[in-house]
Amino acid sequence: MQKAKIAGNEDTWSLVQNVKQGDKEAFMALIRIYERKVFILAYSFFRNKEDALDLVQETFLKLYQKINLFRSGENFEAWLLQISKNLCIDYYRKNYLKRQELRSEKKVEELSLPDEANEDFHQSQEFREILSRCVDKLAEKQRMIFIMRHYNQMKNEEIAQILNISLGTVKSLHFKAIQNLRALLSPYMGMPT
Amino acid sequence: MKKDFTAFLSGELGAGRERELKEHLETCPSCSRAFEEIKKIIEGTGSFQEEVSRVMESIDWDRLPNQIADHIFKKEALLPQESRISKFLKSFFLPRWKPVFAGVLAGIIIGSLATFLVLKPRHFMRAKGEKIYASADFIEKVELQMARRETLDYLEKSQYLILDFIQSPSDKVKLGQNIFAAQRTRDLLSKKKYINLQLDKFQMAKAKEICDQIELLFLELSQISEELTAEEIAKIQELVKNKQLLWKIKLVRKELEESEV
Repeated sequence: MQKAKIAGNEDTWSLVQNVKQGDKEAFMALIRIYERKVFILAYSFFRNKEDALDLVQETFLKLYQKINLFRSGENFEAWLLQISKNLCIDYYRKNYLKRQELRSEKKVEELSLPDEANEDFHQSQEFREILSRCVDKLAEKQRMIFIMRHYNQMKNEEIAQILNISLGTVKSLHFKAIQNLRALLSPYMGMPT
Repeated sequence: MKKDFTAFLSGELGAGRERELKEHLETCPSCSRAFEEIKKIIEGTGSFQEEVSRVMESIDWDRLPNQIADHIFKKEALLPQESRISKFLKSFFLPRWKPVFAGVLAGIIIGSLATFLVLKPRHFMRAKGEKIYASADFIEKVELQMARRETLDYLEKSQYLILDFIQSPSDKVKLGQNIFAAQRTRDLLSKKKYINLQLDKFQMAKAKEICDQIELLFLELSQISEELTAEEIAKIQELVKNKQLLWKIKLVRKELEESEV
């Protein structure tokens, strides 16, 4: 397993070297390896296919422009996802909150409360929508950690590497995110705050 | 305890800790309720996996790399930015350009030196041994001005110290015990030694007389104030007031200020 990982890193490094020389095929190979991971990260931010695809394209454009800054021995995947995460934040700050407001006339507080008899409410489309809106309300780092952890199924160690923060900070911010979500969601799940 | 709930739900807790947590949840209703709430939230995110899988199925992943690469390679950036810069720098610093760089560098140095020699102020060109002459009258005026200023400064500081002395209650005025006042007195006494010479030289008789009186007062006070009783200090304060020392200082200061060169 470890050997496979090292071999994978070596392959990536040789692809990176070729991309630095302007090799289009090598660049396409890199895209093939990482496009899905970047897409999932972007999609979890925007919950919109087109925006996520735009973000994938922007991420690889940025990667191409900055590839000479990547040094041997670094974790390429973490580095790439860091680029993607930064673009997601920029894009989110610039347009997304505004667009979300325009797209949905209802505020989260106005969404209907569940029927108490419906025990599967938390698995419904409506709950997913409410949860997504509540995640949007979290502070930036808490939101990113929650998204990476639960939507992207990343481990705390990976998140720490991508966000460039300590493992302890990831755990503490994740706990805060969960606590805040509990408070925000309490009216929809019959929870006391 | 609550911090471990998500780790427990994702199976990241060790066996021992997991057992502990389960036992605790069975006995603690508050933690049990919080656990259920967190479980529901995390289960709610589970539906995202289905959603994202559905969306990803509709994307042609084999064509996407081609599209992205085409788009990027069609743009101006045919080569990574850094690479173009580094290539330019590499080509710029080739060994064959070394004589050119050396020539340019020499040109810059010679040019700077020439500019310095042409534009530097004339007095820099004065010969090493050459002296500057000023008339004796001018020097005397400068010295007189300096003496006047020193005396003014001395009088001003003395005035403040005497004011402090006569306005303080007689039982709290001992200069030897007040470190700050003692320091100020010492400074003034040493300053007086310096201005004595100037006062003699420029025959500022009135100023000298008043400065001598002040010096005497400070000397007495700094040496004997600790042995004096409150009544005796009150008497000295009264004496200073009667002798109109402050008034005299004021007058001399005014005269010195008016006689500015």
